Amino acid sequence: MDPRLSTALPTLLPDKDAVIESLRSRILHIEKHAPRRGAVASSPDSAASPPLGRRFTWALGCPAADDLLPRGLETNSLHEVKGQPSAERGASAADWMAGIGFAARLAVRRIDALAAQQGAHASASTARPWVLWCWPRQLSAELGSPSAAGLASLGLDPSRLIIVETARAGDALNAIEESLRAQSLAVVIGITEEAELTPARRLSLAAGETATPCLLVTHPAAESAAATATRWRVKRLASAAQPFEPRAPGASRFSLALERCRARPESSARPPVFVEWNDETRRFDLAAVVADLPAESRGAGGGAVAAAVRTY
Amino acid sequence: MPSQQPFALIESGAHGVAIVAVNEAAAHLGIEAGTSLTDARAAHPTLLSRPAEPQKDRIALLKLARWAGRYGPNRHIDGSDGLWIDITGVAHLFGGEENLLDDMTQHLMSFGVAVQAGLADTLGAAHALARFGCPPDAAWAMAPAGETREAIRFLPVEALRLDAPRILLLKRLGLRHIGQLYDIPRDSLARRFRSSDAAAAVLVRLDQALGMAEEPRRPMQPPPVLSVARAFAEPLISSEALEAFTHELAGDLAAALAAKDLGARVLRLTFYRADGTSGTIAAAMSTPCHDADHMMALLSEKFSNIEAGFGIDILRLDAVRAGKREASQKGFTGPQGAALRDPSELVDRLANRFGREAITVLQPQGSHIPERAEIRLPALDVLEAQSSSRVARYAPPWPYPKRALRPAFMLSRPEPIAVTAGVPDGSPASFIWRRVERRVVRAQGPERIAPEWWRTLYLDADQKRPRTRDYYRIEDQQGAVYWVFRHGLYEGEEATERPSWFLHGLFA
Repeated sequence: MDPRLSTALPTLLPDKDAVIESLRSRILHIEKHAPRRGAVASSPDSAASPPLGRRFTWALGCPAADDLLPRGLETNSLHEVKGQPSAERGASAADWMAGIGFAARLAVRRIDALAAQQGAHASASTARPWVLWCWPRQLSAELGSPSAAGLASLGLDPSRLIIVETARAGDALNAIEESLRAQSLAVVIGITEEAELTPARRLSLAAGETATPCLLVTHPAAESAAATATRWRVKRLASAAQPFEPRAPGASRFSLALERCRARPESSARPPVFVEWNDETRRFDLAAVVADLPAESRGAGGGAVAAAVRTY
Repeated sequence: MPSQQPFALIESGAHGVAIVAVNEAAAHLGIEAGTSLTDARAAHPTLLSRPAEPQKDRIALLKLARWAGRYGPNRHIDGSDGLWIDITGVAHLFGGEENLLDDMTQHLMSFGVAVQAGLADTLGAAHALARFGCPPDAAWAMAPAGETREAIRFLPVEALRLDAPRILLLKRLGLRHIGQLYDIPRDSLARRFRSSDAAAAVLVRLDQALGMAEEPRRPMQPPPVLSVARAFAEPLISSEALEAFTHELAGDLAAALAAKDLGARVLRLTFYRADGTSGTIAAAMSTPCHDADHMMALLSEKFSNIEAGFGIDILRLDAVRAGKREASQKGFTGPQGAALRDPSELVDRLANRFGREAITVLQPQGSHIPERAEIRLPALDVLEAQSSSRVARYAPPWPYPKRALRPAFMLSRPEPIAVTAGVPDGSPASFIWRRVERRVVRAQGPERIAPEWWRTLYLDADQKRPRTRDYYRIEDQQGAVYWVFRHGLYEGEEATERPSWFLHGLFA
């Protein structure tokens, strides 16, 4: 919704906005799609992608991180999230958790953005949107199964979560694609060992069709999928100090590097941004990292610290 | 077995080996079921025989009954040698009752089955016509609607499904045809043949045959709520044709369901092949559905399981279970709009493709033990329960405090870890999990979770007492946060066994 338009229209008829928006979206849809009929093979992830899905984006809430992206995270795209592998080969459960934790928080951001976007005329069914979680069984055996209490403390509504556990990795990609096409979900979180070019491309197209974003967490040490709109490299930092109990782990902190950004390729050269998740405001904040960086970062010649100082 | 050769099936009984069934050629020679094999052999030395296999016969008959579903969903075997099929509302698919009978008898004869069929308004009359009313040159006899009484008038009284003593008695009284019973006052028939057993009560059997008394029938499968079928002159072989016709059937069924304000919960597509075999595929739905495209989407997933064989000549689509369909708006704002659809259709598709157990949702349970506080149930069942109850369903609250710090991922079994702690009952200083040592930088705890006391009340001597757990939230030097617990206490009644450490979950 164009912000100027929404302020210009009185809120007397909240449904009117939705109707106008839908009609406009249909017109745009027809205009953009009619000439392209028969030329479906042309790249939809270039500038000619479906126009309206692109207009819906959501942000991390932290300007330093959002500046890496031109317009925020697009809802009609595939976003890949990867942990930082701690060992030469393979990844520990902790490396996976960094990526999964970041993806889960992005999903929280997406749900809040969706609620804000629908605003006053959110119906009961859309006020609490569903989220789908999909992964192969073998990963669930390694990392444990999603827990309602834990997801609730992250900010996700456990009664609005569908968990799909497939026997094979290929099935998981298949299920993710099917879920994206259903247009019933606020966001799909998929976790797979790896996504090759073709499956990633299929997911990307499916996400574009319905403007359902897909957050794909892949193996930290595996090859990266090329067909994604963004790729985040996530590393856990030492958590913030808890004000009332100095020895306790506090707010989660992440180091975020945007390794790939299709809409703004130069962002991939930028140094990582250090952010902190705020449970109360449900957004990422800039982390005041310099004082309490993890020991090895401080000892590593100050590269990371210098980068952090440069960024802010 | 050549049919011109006299042949009998035999069974050894109390009085020696007796004949239980004969073929046409043997019947012409006057050999009857019930005579002993020795007697029959004495008269006709060429008689061939084999032992009867009633179990196999029954299985074969059941198979035939399953196939006979193409002529009507309600059918079952009748005795040891018969089938009954309720063709109410089906005959028009075959172009009338005569054509249906022709089609059925020709099919059965092509399988090598000797067949006699009867069609009438009642099961009793059909039974009588099939066994005693078939003209010698035809495979079937039919009583037109409303003419049952005349059609069975000249059949012998044996046709009434009575037991042997009653038939003998009726014959001694000179009553040889069913029609002769019509003239006898009902009171005297009822008085003379009073019995609780239908096979002994002549009046009951007569009334059943004439449609004046109800006769309960038990079909093979519970009858579907609604059913649509299509018969093909030329058997279908290509999957495209099959898909197209299934889609048409789904459209018909959807319209029929919608007209009754119903939605299908379980669908079953039965296909009858030309060679007399049949098969089914089924699909389940979480909410009552009367959307043909959705039905088709679920069924087409399983089309690869269909073996067309020599071709499929009848397709039938049943709504095995159905529920009241609530009218609902299916989205208005178009594909790029913000409105999200109900996820039930997605759940149906995923559950039909990957199995019911693969798609789950979390549900609270009444327990404070972390692994028992929640359970994952098939989404198909949970959504169905939520949609079917008209009263808003009571959702038990999630049994955790709102700000409880719980890990997002819980291991299905807590994994043992080796822990070094500063003081015995203090928080861990370092631990080894999955062969990697991790130094603890920050720790929070303990959060003591006591066992459920009601589970400790009635324990046998050899059963282990549940132990108290002290949970800690610990962060290692890489920033990863774990949920670990010490199982057992150092003091008190639990001190008999040394406490051990486990890792239970990972914070995301």
